Amino acid sequence: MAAEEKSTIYKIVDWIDSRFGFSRTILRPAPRYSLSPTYWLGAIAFVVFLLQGVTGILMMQYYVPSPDKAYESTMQIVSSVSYGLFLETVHLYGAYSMILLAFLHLVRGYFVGVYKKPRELMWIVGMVMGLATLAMGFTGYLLPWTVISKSAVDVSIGLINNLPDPIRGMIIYIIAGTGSDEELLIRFFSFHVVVLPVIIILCFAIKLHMFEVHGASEPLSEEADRREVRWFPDVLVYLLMLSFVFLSVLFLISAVFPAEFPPKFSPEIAAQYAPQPEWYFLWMYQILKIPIFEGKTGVQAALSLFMLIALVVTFLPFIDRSEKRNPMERPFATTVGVIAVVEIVILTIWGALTPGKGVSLDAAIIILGLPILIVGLISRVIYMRYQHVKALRMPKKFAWEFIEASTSNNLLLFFAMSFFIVVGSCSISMITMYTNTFSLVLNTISLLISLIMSTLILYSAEPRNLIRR
Amino acid sequence: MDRFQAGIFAILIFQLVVLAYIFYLDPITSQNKFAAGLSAELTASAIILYLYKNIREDYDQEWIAAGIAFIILALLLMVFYVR
Repeated sequence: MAAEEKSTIYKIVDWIDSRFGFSRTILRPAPRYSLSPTYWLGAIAFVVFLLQGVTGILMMQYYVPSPDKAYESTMQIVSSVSYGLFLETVHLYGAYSMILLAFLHLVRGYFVGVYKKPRELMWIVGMVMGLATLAMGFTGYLLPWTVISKSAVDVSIGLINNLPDPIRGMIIYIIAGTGSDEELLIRFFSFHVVVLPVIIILCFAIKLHMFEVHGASEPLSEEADRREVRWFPDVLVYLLMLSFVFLSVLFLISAVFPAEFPPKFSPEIAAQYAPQPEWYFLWMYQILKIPIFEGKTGVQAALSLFMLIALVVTFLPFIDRSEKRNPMERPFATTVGVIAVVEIVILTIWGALTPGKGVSLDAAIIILGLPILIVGLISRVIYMRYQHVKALRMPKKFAWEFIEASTSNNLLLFFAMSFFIVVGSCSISMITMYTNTFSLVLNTISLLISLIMSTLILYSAEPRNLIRR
Repeated sequence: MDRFQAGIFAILIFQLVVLAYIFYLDPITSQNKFAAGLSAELTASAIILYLYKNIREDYDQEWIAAGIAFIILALLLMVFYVR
């Protein structure tokens, strides 16, 4: 294609650049390997945050933060305001996707070890942003004043009341004031529209500065394309393209599944509904249902556990001090990460399937214990194979073929069986939640089959057996 | 005009048509159609950016096909399914 023919587009870009001066920006160029969606999950989450700001400000023109009028004003936005339902739906799904993107960003960062030197503080600032995002979700959930959201917040405050003083008093004073509905709603509203957005914007500015200092994290592969591309237009165009794709999917989902609201909160109606948090808190909610976390001490233990998890993840850069970043080179960290993700997914699904229902201890042990065993065994098999291939120093292509050929049969069977056992035992436990003995027997049999299968697979996966083959 | 420019020109015309359509939709009763139309508009914009980004290199026709399929889906939903 002739350069002359391309020039129209370039002329437009050059015209824009000469007026705005984008190409003279201080933002650093990016290596080509970083032009991949996984590197930009955090940036897309921030784009969604901006969308949340726009839709939120538009809705704020009609929303009234008062227990008497919050629900009515929300319904008015949905039914009488131009594009009101669209704004509500996009704001709701935008919040979901922001939390999901932040979670994926965290998980990806964990597995590729982006928190290692010199990005420790970037990780901590990112964690603050993530927690603020969750808090945005929590505070925003109450604002429509529906029967489910208000009941869920009441349950959360009830849980906080189990904490020892002065922590309890401090938290309650900050989020609920004297305890009246008016004060609760106005505090949640001000946190949602002022305090938390300011925290997120400040953290974003700090993180962007650190990103400009350290650049994109190093790729795991040595063959990655390290040639640099300019911030304008290349990186900007790429980011815009990803954002448009993401937003178009978000808008289409909003078109097909518009938001629906439960009835307005009142104590009488609340008695007919089981309080249920939003899906991103369901895993915690499900843990709290386990009998060992019942009572004041149990709740304190569960809340301490959540606090401990948050602290460990936040200060992970100072806990995991090894310099290795490749997930295959650090099997313990990788296995723990996979187990954590699998458990969160299982608890979330379980919580969604059993709203308002208790869980038995044996069901919890099986449902939460089995994935630990299975993921642990699979990780061990994969790690042994990796070590074996590495020891033989095979060329990359041949190594992959070797792994594929030697693992395809038994590993696939193993995966299939594991999946069957996990799904089977989970569903059996869920169905027979109130007949503990039956559930226990069936799950024990599943566990035994899983153990026998795993032992066989482990034996066949031993490097010496592979060499013999 | 080469095929890049022709493609971008065709997409811009399509965007104008969809924009005109969603502009005249009822903002209360046809909000979901508006959302689906906006989704098609954004996908079309993403395709333009993709073509621009890869103008000097070979572009992947599968991505373009996926984008067009998504636009068709959004338009079908807009016309026949959502209100």
